[in-house]
Amino acid sequence: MIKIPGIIATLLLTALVAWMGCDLFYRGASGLHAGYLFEAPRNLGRSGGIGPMLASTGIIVGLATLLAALVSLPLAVAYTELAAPAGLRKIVRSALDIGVGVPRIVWGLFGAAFFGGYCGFGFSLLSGVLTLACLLAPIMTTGFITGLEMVENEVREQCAALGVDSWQTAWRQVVPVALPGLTAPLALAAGRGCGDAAALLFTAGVAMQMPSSLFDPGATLSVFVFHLLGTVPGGQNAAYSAAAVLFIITLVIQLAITMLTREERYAQ
Amino acid sequence: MFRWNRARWFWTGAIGLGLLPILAIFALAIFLFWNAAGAAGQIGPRGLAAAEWLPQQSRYGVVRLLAGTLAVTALALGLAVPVALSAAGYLSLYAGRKVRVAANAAIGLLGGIPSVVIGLWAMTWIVPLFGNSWISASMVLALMIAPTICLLSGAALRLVPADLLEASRALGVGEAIVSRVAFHHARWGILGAVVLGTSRALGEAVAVSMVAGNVVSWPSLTRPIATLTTTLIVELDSAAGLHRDALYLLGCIVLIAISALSVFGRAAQRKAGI
Repeated sequence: MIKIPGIIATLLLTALVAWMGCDLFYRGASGLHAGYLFEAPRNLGRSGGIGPMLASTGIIVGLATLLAALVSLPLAVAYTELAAPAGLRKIVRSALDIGVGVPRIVWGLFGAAFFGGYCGFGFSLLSGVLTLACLLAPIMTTGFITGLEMVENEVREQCAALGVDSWQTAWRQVVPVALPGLTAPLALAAGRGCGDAAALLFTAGVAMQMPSSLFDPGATLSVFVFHLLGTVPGGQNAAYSAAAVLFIITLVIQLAITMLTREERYAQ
Repeated sequence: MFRWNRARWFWTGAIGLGLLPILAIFALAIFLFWNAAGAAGQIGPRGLAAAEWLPQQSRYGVVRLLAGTLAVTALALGLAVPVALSAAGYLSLYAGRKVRVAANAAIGLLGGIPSVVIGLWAMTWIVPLFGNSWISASMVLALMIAPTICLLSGAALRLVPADLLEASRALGVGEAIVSRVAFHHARWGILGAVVLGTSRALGEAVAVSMVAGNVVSWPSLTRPIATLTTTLIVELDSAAGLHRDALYLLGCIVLIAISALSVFGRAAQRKAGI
């Protein structure tokens, strides 16, 4: 009953991915040339390369992932390893569930007003990094919690029997055992960061120059594609080329997620 | 008496760091509510309940935007759910392990493709056929939420005990009933998957804004449409004063709806043991 429609639906979804990838390369090929990845864009991005955008993407996504990991891991470890009151756990759990669901554009609104306006960072890589870190932290924490909960309780019980304190148990035993399961959320977060346009559009800005410090604005590759399509007349061909590169980055990250997920993959 | 040994110091530090993301979520909620309440006070209930959203004339009625959002999301669900659930059903109940892993990887890739890339593809293939319209916007959204729903409900279906299915088969009921048994057993997980997919659809801004046309009007299948999130992304750049606060109000509406859906969806998933 469900077999035939199921096969058709599976083929449809798989074919769509292939179609998208091939189409982007077919249309974007004319803009790709030696040095495309390193050159500066010319003519408002209609020609030239994507060097500055790749640099901004690397800086923003790299720093935001790092920053998010720095706060997510302690939160996830404290959540799974400490016996907090049930009410408190429920608040944290709900806050995380909501945080995972908060749309990028809403984080963008908040980041633009708080980091850009109130903190005075304006349109800058720093605003972008902080906003993206806020966006990624709940996603990463949820992934870390899943990874830590997979560690068998025996590890904790053996440590307790040996009189090892909770801190040592958590960081010397549980986290190292869980480590393979903790890498997938990192890759997931990096993928979300590379794909984000809505949160970064109003925080890191659409500037196409090579940023020289964290206080300079800089468009990531996603924002660049969105900007080309929305505001630069005749930018569509250049958008195909940049989107093709973005597709490759996504492909690599998604493959990494599939490889890193030890159980069969279901999460995104 | 607390003994401030090393473990306690370290845990205090870890909790201090770990509080930051939680605080950020609370800060976001308070910030949006604060600004939204200010805008709501100035616009007044009568102004908000109006159909016209015309910032140039200081008219901020949200009814058409709400109708647009609901229309686009509902049609997207109508398109995505049958495809996603039948794919999940086939992959979880019938496909071999290799096929399942490969297909899940491809479907995960589809879900991970950046909104702008999906939007660009849709501008190339969907907009020439259907124009900037409700149906285009819903097709794009369906494309983006189908992987979420498929993978998450697939996870729920894989938790159905094999002996339950074998017992049904042993009764000779036919595969239609067997899959019904599986879907019934996994209903909470599937419900969670659909609800989380809905919340993702409500929040998506970039790809939809690239194909919807962003004209505030009553929904009509082949005419341009605007949603809460597309209005945000299109107008935020140029908005100031009350207009900006009114946009925060739109963000607040989206946030409330999505928070309710996320909490409910995750609760349903946990009930299913995912």
